[in-house]
Amino acid sequence: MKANQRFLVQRWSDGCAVFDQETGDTHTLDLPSYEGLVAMQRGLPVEETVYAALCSLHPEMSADELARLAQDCCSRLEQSGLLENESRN
Amino acid sequence: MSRPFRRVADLSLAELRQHLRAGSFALQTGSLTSRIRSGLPDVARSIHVLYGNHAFEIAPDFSDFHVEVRQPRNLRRWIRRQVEFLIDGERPFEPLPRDQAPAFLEWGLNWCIAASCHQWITIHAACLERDGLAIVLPAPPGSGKSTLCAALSHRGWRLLSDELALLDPKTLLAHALARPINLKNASIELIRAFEPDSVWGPETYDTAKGRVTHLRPPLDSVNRMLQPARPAWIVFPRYEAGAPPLLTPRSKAQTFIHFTQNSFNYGPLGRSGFDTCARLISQCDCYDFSYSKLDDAVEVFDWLSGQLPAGTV
Repeated sequence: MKANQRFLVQRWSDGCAVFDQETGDTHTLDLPSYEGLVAMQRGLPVEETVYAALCSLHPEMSADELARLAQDCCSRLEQSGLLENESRN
Repeated sequence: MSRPFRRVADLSLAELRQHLRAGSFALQTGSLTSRIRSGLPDVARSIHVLYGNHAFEIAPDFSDFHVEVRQPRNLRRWIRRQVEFLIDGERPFEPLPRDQAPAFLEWGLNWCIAASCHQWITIHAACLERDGLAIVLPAPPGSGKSTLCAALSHRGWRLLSDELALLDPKTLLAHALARPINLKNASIELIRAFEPDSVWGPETYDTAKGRVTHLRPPLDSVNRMLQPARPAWIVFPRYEAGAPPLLTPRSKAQTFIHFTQNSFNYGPLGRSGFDTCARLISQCDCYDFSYSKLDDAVEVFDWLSGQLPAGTV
């Protein structure tokens, strides 16, 4: 388990659980979304990172499909309060 | 155990009633001691039957809980009679009909543990052990958890608890209560037929859960109630009429969410709760299990007990 300023994360092969120490909320994420969360913490572009993670997971998918999936992942991160709007791009 | 102790069955029913009336009777369930006061004869009979193999003390210096089951001191003592449950003199619940007194004691003790034992992560789950490894069965009411637990506890699995899995955040061990198993409605006849020699408490009708009763825990479970076990499997059971037995691996991330949703104190424990559940799920193999026949279920769990989980060293 990795600890940092805000999130505690337990990662498994099929996803991860995230504990938000600021809110006390717990979330589960798929691995591309988790990569997006890590990118946000490092100040890297989130949607691009999620897209790259999805590419390696689903090489059979078209670029459009992957882009739509990446947008969905980022939207879910935003809705769950894990990702601020300005961090997305 | 190094210290000699007396079992409840060593007391005559009259002696037990006397100690209960005086409020000096203290029952040991797992590592917890509950001091119980009650002048109600059916409560005494129920304790005598269901806890016959458990250790007790008389007026010990310390008890975890001080509870009482009594009739209210108002008209409801006489008209449309009721019974109330108290802990430390406070009444956490509304009264229930008088004939539900024995069951009220069981439910009240469950509440005491769930509401105050934050030294453990408490999960609404059955928990059983075999060969040193524990299986945790979290499930909402109506899923067949207690029925399955009752069957397994009479087919080679040691009962730790029917209702509350108690998980130590430091060691991740599951601790036992070895208390009676709460069964309701059709499950009662099912287990009576499955285990004809089983011993039962009184049946209570027209409760919020329907017809309920309690099954005395097997002797071995009580004798070993101070032995914790290492959880190795988390299985979400579901009874489905006519369904063949089906054990399906489930995602650990999804298990985490459903597991913590069944916890009574995950939220209040904050970071410690997250850490404990995360480590626990990492060390366990996780499954969904649907079934309709108990014999099939026992066979599947026998098979499972022979499979060392991936996290086992």
